[in-house]
Amino acid sequence: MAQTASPLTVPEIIPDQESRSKDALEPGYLVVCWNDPVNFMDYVTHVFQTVFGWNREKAELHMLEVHEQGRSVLARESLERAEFYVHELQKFTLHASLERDE
Amino acid sequence: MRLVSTTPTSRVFALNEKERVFFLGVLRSYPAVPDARQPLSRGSADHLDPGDEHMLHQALAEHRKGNSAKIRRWLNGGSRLKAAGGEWHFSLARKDFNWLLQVLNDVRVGHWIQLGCPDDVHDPLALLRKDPTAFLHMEAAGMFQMELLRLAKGDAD
Repeated sequence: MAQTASPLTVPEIIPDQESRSKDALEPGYLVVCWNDPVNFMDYVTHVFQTVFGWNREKAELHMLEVHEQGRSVLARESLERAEFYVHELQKFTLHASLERDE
Repeated sequence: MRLVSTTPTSRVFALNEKERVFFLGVLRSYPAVPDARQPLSRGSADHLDPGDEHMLHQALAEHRKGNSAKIRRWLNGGSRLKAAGGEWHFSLARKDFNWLLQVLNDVRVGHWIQLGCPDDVHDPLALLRKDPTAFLHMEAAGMFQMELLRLAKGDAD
């Protein structure tokens, strides 16, 4: 004998007020590292390798860009990912910010 | 500072007496960077939710609080720096390597800020005259930082 199915209760869908807009999920944000004369070049290279998982060559390239041009764009990401990377870089006391990719 | 031994999970470093004094002084001066030093964005922040910046500062403050607590535990543990034949040995877990680098760089940058963020950090006499304590902390933190990076690199090669 087939069991009587329990009545299904469909949960009410409540719009998530905390959700970010679609715009925030688009990779339109730049993670920028700025030059601070106090940071050692080897340290900056190490941090880039640690945070982004880059090889030494790529990390050094960006480190040199920071050193010589005053800043380097390290990544182009969604707002959330960009915030994550900025936070990680700032944990190492690097001067990092996120900018809108115009 | 020299590398004494390595295992898959930790490295043991040796300090002479002078280095030990500086090392403890550097750790005790953490945190040195003022809270909320860095804005989330340097350009127009119109596109950012003001709450984001607040959350980032809060998260950084929490992170630094955690680092401070870890330093206190480390300093009060008593067994971290062990006398060994005229030197002092300390063991650093590999997972704590970046933690120590973060602490050292905070101390270096924080004291550089106290010195007025000089563009030229290679004029020791001028900086020493300006604020001897800040200069010594900045230099000592930098020295340990570079040694750690150098020794770890040699270890990895």
